[in-house]
Amino acid sequence: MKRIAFLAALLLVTIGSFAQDGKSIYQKYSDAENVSAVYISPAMFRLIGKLPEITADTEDGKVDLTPVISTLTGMYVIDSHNQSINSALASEVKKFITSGKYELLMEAKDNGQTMRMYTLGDEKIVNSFVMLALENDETTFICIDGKMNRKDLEKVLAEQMK
Amino acid sequence: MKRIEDIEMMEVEDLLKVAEDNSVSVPEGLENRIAASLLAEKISQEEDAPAVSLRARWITGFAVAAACTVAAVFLYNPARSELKDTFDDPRLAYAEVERTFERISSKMSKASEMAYEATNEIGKPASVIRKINRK
Repeated sequence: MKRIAFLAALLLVTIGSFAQDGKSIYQKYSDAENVSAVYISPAMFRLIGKLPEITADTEDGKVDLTPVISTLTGMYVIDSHNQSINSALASEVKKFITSGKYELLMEAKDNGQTMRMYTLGDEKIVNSFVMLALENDETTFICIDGKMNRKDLEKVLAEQMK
Repeated sequence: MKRIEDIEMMEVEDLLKVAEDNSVSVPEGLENRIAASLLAEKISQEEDAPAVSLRARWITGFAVAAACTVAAVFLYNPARSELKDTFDDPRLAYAEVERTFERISSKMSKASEMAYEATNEIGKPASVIRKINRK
């Protein structure tokens, strides 16, 4: 009986290790109708890192994205206008967030629209950033993986907010 | 009547002498009772045997099922297969990354505005109290 319980526990742990992640969510929903999807691989990020100038235009000038871009290993974006999959997509993202032990960074609710941002990592490094935005007829899922310096990421996002 | 301890202490020769001594009578039906006991023991062992085997089958079956599940997950999990990049050109990919950061920033900005408005609302009662106090 103990052996069976051990094997069952082992099986659950094994299955758990294959739980949802940004990649599997992207793969599942990227081909659906009325869904636009973007995937950028680690190899492409390496190529981007070799570009001569990586800056973003802001009202006050340009923001240097190099410190963040060079640490990224994957980016998954799903923009769904398909009502039949929006709730399932949101539900899977929530499961992924819960199982991945993400920390809620920010949540805003306005007129039935919800936006949540999560990070995974520690005080210095962000290993993954997830944004889930639920709007009237649109659900957006953004997942950025990497080894981003938290300060650099916050700086880039803050400067683009200006 | 000898006790088992006494019999165990006896030498082999003594035991043989006792065995050959015809004057010692064997209780009637002893042979049948021994045969019945041996048969009962044999049946009991046979009944126990399938129970162990059944448990072994369960464990084996479970292990096989677990192995199949893991193999299926490994082989058919779509996340394990490689994805294709949306862009071939790093400049286009970079533009998309930039756009994504802008979208995130825009959402953050909206949330900050809401927080700012909420802070102003929170400050209103305090301002009213200050005005009343001045009067």
